[in-house]
Amino acid sequence: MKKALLKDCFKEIIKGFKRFISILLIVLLGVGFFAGIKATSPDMKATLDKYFDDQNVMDIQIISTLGLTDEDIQELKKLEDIDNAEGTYQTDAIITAGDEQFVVKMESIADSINVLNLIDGRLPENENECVVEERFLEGTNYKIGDTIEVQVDNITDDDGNEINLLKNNVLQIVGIVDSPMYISTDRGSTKLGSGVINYYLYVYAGNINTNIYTNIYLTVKGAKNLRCYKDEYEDKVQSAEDKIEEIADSRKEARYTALYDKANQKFQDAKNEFETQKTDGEKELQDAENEINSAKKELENGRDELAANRNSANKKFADAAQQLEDAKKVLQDNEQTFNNSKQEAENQINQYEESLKQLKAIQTQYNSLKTTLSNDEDETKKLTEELQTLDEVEDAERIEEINAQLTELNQEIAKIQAGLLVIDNQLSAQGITDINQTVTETDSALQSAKNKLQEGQNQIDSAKRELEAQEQQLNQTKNSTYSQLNAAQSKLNSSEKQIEEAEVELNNARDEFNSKIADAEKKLDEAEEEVNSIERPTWYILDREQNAGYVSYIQDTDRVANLAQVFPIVFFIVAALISLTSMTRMVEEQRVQIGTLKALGYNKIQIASKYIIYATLATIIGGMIGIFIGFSLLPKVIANIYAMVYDIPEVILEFNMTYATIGMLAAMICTIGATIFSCYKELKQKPATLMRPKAPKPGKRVFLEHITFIWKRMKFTTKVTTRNIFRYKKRFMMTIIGVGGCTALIIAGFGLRDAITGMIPSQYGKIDKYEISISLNEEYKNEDLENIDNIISGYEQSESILNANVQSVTIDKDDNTQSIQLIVPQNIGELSNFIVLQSRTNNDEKYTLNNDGVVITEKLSKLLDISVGDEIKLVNADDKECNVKVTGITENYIYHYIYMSPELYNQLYNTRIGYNVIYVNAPEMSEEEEDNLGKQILQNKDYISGVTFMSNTEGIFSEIMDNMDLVVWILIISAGLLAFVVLYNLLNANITERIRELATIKVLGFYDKEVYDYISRETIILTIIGMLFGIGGGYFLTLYIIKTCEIDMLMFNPQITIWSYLFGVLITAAFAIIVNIITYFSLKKIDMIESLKSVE
Amino acid sequence: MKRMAYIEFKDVVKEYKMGEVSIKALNNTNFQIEKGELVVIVGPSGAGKTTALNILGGMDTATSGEVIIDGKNIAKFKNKQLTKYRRDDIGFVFQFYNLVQNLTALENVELATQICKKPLDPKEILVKVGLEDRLKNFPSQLSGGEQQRVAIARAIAKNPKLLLCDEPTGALDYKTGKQILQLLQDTCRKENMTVIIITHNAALTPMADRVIHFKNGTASNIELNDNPVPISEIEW
Repeated sequence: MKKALLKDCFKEIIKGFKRFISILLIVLLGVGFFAGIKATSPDMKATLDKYFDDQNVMDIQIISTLGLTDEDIQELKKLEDIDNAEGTYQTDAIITAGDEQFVVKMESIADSINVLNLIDGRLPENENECVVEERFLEGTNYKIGDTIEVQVDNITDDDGNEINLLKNNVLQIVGIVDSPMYISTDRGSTKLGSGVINYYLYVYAGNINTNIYTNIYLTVKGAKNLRCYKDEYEDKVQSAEDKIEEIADSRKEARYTALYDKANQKFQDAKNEFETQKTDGEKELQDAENEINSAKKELENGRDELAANRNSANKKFADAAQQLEDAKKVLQDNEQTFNNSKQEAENQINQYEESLKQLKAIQTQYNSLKTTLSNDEDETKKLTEELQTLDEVEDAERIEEINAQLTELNQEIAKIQAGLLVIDNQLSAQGITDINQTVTETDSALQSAKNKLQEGQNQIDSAKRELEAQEQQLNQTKNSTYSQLNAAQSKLNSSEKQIEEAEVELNNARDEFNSKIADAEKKLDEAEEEVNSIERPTWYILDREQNAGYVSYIQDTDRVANLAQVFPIVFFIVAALISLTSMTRMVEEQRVQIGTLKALGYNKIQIASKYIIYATLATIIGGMIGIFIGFSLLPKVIANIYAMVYDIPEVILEFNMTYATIGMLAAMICTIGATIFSCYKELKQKPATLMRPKAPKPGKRVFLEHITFIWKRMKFTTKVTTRNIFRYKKRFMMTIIGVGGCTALIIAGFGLRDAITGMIPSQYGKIDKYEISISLNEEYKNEDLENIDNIISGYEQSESILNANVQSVTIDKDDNTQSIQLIVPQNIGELSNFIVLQSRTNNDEKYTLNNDGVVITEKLSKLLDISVGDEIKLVNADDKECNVKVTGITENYIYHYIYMSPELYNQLYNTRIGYNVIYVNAPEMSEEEEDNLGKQILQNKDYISGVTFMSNTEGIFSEIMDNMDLVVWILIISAGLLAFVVLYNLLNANITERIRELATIKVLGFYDKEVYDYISRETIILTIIGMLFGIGGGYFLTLYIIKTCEIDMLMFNPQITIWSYLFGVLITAAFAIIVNIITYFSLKKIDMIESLKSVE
Repeated sequence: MKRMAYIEFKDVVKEYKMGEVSIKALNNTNFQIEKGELVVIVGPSGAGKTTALNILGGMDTATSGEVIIDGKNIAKFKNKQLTKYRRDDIGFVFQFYNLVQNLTALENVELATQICKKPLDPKEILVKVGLEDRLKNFPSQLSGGEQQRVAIARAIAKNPKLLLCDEPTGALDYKTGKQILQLLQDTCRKENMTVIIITHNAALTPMADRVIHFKNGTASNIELNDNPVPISEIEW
């Protein structure tokens, strides 16, 4: 290269800076994007590898179903591939914070493997301390220094005793750590609480109350030097795993034997004890029975005696009653007799009384006569005496009166004496001499008769009274005798009752004893069975591939790598096109110079070298800057996006020579190739031809002009625009690829987002309609299923329940094996309320399960190339094989499933299917209630293995999907840059290439707006055409990206919403508008005079 | 008061600043042109002819002085006014025709007429300039003379007050150049249009009504030609 030419080249760069920059910029973009995106995945992986190396993360992990021992560790350490081995104890525990309970994964800290990354505070130094992850503190509001209580189930030690797992359950938080074992937010699932593990927590190893480990972590010699995502690492770890497998059997056997011997010894002891207890119990029962029997006998005797007594008493009293009766009869007779004589006596008495009455009347008459006589005589005497005293003269009157009276009295006396005489005669006639005496006598006779009667009566009465007394006494005796007898009877009764009770008691005791014995026997049997069924332990030898966080991280970086395959291509194509147009223009502009040089004798290569150097310089500078920016910016941006989901250190930026070289070379090929292509045409020509100004590109008719009826109707400006569009083919292509690429990239970005985010509502809203799924483990019984059904029915919001059998099956087809969930619903008709089986392309086409075959999910059919009617080989959980026809392919986005009717299952596997999963429809259930339900169900942890709430699952997925937005942003920004570079280049080309034309129309008097319209009409139409291509391209690009990014487990929903297209178009339009505004001002600045100056 | 000429250049100065140095392309230039005249501006390269024409045509502005066209001082016009002035009042013809390559002869004329207030019929004009058979040809299919005819037709079709021609025959052979000048003279006479032609060829001066000589950035001499000669009679 001649010095002058080189100088000219640099001058050219300064002069045509815009052109130089535009090449540089597109190369920068292309190479930057290519190198940056390509480097992102390796950088992220290297970061992870370094982090794992720094934290000495295990290469292999062993989990045993029977626990692991120090001996195991010693044996493992002896293996030559193994660098170090350490054991830890890991379990799930519950922490209470406020009213909330959290489930934590609790593990003891290993000495030097899986070193925790201390964020704050310090590591535990004694059994009272623990460390937690930062999210734990955020979620529970605890802080360093606080004390928490860890609730953890007791464990059974090797002797079969239940012991506390932790020596100390109350722990002080002394630090915050990041565990390299949990780089993602996934902490796994648990049988505790609501089934999700919230956080992790590490305790001091000395706090673990057992010397048995759940995990042994191993590091492999030399593995650290390898990148853990590379095949060499995997091979190394695999060979170490093989070595472990070799000793695994003997270790497992040792562990088994140890446990078996201990358990068996214990069982034998228990059995002996059971036997003695059984014998003792039986004897006791026998004694009790004997006692009852003797009591019964006694009772019988008592009863006989009582009966005899009663009989004799009855007899005695009957006799006595008879005697009494006889006596009564005698008395009655006597009374009768007495009554008869009484009448007689009473008649006599009446006689007496009659005669006495008469006598008394006579006596009274006699006595009154006598009294009157006496009175009369007294009177007479008195009068007589008086008379004597009286003077016959003086008392003549009186004497006369007295004499009269006396006469009267004498008369009367005479009358009375006559009367008395009559009476005396009468009385004498009756033999009565003295009336008074007779009266007295009669009276006394009467009295005596009466007395006699009375006496008889009295005798009768006293006899009666005596009889009554006797009767009363008899009765008294009788009563007392009988009451004695009754008392004896009731005594007998009560003792009988006692005996009965004793018998019942005995029976109960016997029953109890029998059932106890039965129970004990059963338990003993079970214990024996348990001893016999101490399964030989299984070792799970896992490596990093089984760490959920590690795997999803690697998958995510792979996805980034897949994206990197696609996007830079567009940039490189555009870079080639831009170089082509720019360099062509440059070469054309300088044809005179080229001609001159040629005339001066420079050869083609020398002349072309100027342009090649020009392009190379632009490419190298652009490429270098691109590599620098790309390598440092993109991995950081993308890694930062992922850092929101993963707890790993800041990304390590590595200079990736391979990608730098590939990017640079690709850019060189594009630009230099384009340059050589553009030079070649001109260099072929003769110097003389080159010296003449190049004939302007001739105008051409476009095909539309031949369709006269359309062309005629077109406006003048439209015609001009139409012709111009077809005139510049390179520009046409560039616009379409650039604008179309921009639109396509944006659509792809949004489309990808649609596809991924669309999965969730489609899967969890449209297809899986249930809200809760509860899985039971192998221990459950049928009544447990009912129990759970009942718990759920107790919640008002639960609408319906479907039992199903869900098991892991594998399908073999053409050497491709896939592990799938087989779902067998108990009720085929109900299934559609829980899981919708339908064709994705035609949602009206529903599938119903029948006995002809199974329905499989779409992604599975794609992976294994299965179509309806094909037969597939299914291996069920019990390793039984069978062939079954596919009758439908159903829409599904997450995981793979096969649906089968229970009848078909029974028929195929010749069994009766059981159900181990319960689906619940409860769309209205609140989160709080879900929580309660979850807790209630998980209380039955004997047979419940987990409760999954769709709301949780959805949440986890949604979080991941949020990150897609950032990917979309990267796409939009890159697409925007692309559109900008292309459109700006187009603008430049339009202005510089057509500057005379534009100056001319300006001279003609076109207003600025009209000049702008003249140009922009073309760019707008080209942009629109580009967009249309972009829409189509976007569709295919999205499909392509989906295909490359999709992992086996998922099927993205390949439906791009109208919004994605709209955004693609609108955002592109926005970039176009920005460029058009710039165009407007650039056109305004065109200097007519300068532009129209004659050429050279 | 003195009657105002149709076109008047009064003390027009045009100064270009090139960094520290400033170059006066026009230095106190004064001339007048009457309506309907055929004017020839002659002078050596760099005398300021084109600058004067550009200012006259509203493509450039004077640094100072007055440029009065039909009573309006366009020296004071803003950009938009200048565009309107070019659009309505000026027809330009360039040495290299400056046709739009992608448009046919007719379309190139239409490009100008579609923005005018009272344009002439493009077809008629093209017939007048003798291109009735070339209406649908692209510039690349036309000879230089034919292209210049199209350019003139495009300028005339706008029905401008002023037809400005910058070396219209510079790229043409003698015969064709003569035909073009004839066309311009005819246009001036028949359409009564003011036509100003720049040329470095002094032999053409007899065809003009007025000849303006430029020298060192100023109109050094103005001659009035009472009897202009038809172009066919001029030989050079």
